[in-house]
Amino acid sequence: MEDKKFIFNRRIKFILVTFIIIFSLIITRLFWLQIYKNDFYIERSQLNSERIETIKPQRGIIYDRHKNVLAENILTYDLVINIEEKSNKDIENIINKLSEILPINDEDKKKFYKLKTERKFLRFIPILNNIDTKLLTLFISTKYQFPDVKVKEEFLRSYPHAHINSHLIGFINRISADDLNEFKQDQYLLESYFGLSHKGKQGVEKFFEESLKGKAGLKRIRVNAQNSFVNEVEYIPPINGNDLNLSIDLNLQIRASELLKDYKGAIIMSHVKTNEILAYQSNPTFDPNHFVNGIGFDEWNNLNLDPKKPMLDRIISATYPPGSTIKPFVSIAGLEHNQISKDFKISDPGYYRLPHSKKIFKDWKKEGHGEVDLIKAIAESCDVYFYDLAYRLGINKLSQTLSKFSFGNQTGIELPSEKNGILPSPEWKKNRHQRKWNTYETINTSIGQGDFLVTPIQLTQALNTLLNNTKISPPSIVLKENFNNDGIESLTITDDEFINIVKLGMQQVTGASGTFRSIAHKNLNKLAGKTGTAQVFSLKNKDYDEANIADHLKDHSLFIGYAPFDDPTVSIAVVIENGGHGSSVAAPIAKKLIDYYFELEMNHE
Amino acid sequence: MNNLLNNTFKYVDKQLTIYLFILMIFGLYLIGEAVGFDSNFFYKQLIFIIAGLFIYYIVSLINLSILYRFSFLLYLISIFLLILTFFFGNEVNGSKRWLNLIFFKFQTSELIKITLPIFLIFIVENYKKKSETAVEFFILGFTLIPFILIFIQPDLGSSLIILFIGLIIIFLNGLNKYKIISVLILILAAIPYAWVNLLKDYQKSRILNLFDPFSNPLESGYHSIQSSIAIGSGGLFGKNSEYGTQTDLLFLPETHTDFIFAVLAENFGFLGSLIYFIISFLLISRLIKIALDLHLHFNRLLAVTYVIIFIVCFLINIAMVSGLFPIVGIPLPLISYGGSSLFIYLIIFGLINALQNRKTLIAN
Repeated sequence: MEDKKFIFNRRIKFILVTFIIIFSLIITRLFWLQIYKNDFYIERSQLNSERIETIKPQRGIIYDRHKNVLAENILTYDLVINIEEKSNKDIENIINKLSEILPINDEDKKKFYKLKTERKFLRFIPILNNIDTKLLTLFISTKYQFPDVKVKEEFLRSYPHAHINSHLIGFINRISADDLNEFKQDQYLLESYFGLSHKGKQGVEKFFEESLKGKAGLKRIRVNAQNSFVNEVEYIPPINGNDLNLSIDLNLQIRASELLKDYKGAIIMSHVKTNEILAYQSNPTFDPNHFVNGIGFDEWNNLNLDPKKPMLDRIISATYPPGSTIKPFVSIAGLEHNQISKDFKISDPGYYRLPHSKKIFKDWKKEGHGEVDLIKAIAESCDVYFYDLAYRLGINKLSQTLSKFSFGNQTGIELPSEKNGILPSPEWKKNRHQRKWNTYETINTSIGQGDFLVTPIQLTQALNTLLNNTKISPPSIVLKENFNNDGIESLTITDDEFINIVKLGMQQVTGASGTFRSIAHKNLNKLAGKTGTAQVFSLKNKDYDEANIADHLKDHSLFIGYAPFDDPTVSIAVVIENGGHGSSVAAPIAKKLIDYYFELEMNHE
Repeated sequence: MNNLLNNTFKYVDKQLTIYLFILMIFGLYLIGEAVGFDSNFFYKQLIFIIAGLFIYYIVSLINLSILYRFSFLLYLISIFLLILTFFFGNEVNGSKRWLNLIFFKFQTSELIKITLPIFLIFIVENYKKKSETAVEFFILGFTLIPFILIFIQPDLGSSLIILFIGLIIIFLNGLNKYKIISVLILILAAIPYAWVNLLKDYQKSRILNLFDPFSNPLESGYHSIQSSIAIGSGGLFGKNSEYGTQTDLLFLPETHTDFIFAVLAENFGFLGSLIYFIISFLLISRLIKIALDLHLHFNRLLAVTYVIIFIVCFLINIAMVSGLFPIVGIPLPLISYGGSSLFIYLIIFGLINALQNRKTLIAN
């Protein structure tokens, strides 16, 4: 019995010692957690309970010159799903249940999953954008079934005159995976897009992105484990984007789009003295509103595969042979280099034979123009006059003068993806084709054919440069409250006398024997200009038969013009793809828009 | 007044009563802190404490020899209730542990913690002339029955406590070294079998999470991580409670029951935990002193067994909350919310008082 008691006491001691060891371990553990790792766990506990909510800024509103809205933000309701801590199966269940009461199609689902994979840090992902009040009430009445679906108020970018301004304004689109990768290269960029979901992708929206986008604010809030709001810790207000006033006139835009409706082509109207753009129209167009929340795959495909290329901004991103519209500028070259004068005459038999060769260059007028001086050469667009001039001038002098009018270089308009065009020269040919220049190419250049390519905006820039006879600033689409030319150093292009001679020729274009003589007796607004017909396809001496030629091989129809000719205030450039003669399509369109411009001016006064 | 006090403490140990009273009130405060001082849980616990003290006093008056005599009956009643629970118990979170007694949900596995030691020690005392091995097998057999009934509820924590009661009594009764070694080998050998065949997936992942809680932070590791965060963020002096705590913000579930210690550690810090440990230590030393001072060996064995149950539950709970032990549903004695658990410990302490009273009675 004593023995048993002895064992009992020893074992009690053993057990108590074991307990003390375990207890010391616990104390050590608490010391580790509470003292040694205290900072770490305090941070963890803050992470646990703090949520950062971003507050989106309002993107800047875009107005035309008369404060008409061209791009705005409208309040819409999105249906978003909270995907935090949810498996794919959970999410699928939510969407399936939701589709029982709301019309969710495959396209919506595709967009949802695309966003989910691309934007890994998003907690709320939209399943339906911009739902109407009917669906909204329908959802709210069944909301109790969907604890993880929320109605989110969202400002949606909206373009009220959708098709009319699409190439000019462009659009914004959701920030894509590629954008994110780009942001990651640049810390400043990444921070500046914190809390933003969209980014300007084309047109004004892209070019003025920095100014329009604003900066997101944030709210640090404390939440409990159910994610319910407890209190606010920090609030930084968002900074809204800057509004933008464009020099564009919405009325002219609307009229220009009507005029261009049946054609592929471009119209630019601008103020001569300020080089501000008033109308900017490229056709066909697209609806930028469809891009804002991601365009559907099929629609995108249709737009891209459409042979009419509706996504192409023909004003700055398409190039055309300038055709005869180049002749006023070639004339300047001739005058500058003393190869011609106002009274210099040639005789045009209807063709030109290149000296020391058998090569014949035809005039557009088979029977020829007879006796031709410079004024008549411009007015009637006499090819032979310019062939002869170009031959005597030589390509170097010619391209030197033409480059002063910014041919071959971007104009620097405040829009993305502007093309350079091509101003051909021996140097260019050597770099591009590794070939020697041929004299006949000089002849082609003089009538705006061959390798010569310009963008319609270059035509505007060249024309305004000529009319001002100074090196002017790039074409501008932003309204300048007080236009001031004083700051800009005035660099004269050439002798005023030369400009006046050429302008006289352009005035005669709309005169009794000019190429655009059809308006000679009704030219109230004193339109002057130059027509152009640009060959798309060389017919190799075969006769051009307009009635029997495929549409896409037809000549481009061009016109540059300004009014009034005695004190130019407004200028215009029109390019109609495969439109035929410049005088028959492009010029009448220009006339109509110029007339409308003066009609509006009268009303404003 | 003095007389009244003396009369009150005639049958209950003064020191023991003061310590456990302090702990219960502290527990009540923590429950208020965890779920609100105006919540149902707070008022219910207050009622449990008052009722519990009453039970404590009554049990202290019991004559233990009667309990020994009826110990088999008490054992049978406990087993019967466990079986009833298996068929008619309230199912919560997939396990059936509670019998609905209308005014009170009773966790039947708690009752067996009291009746099993009495019955086993009754066997030890009555069969001490018989072969030791036979007694040990009896004890093991009578332990396994409730063990299995609780294990299938399923309640891994409580069932292991029951198994532990049987083993500790055998151990204290002088199980010889060779048998101890064989039992240890047997247990080690049983572990792989139990792992594959007996444990449910969630039980396995709870054990695995002990080693790497962050491997599954939102599911099985959630409790462990959140309670570590709550404890760790408490620091030396505890968190200023107006600044929103883990437990206030409900990141840590079940704070008023199994995870009440996290509330303590977060609100009162390392120092607060130490003060709590000191009071618990005083209580335990007092219990051990009373138990070891008992005259009769089997009474001492019974009292020590009860004290060990108390200490083991205390250690397991804190080890579990601080991430040293898998999550098994064992509440913190005297502190956690819950009537069953509180009553059981007050009955145990009452019985220890009763044992001490018998001693003074015999001495007188």
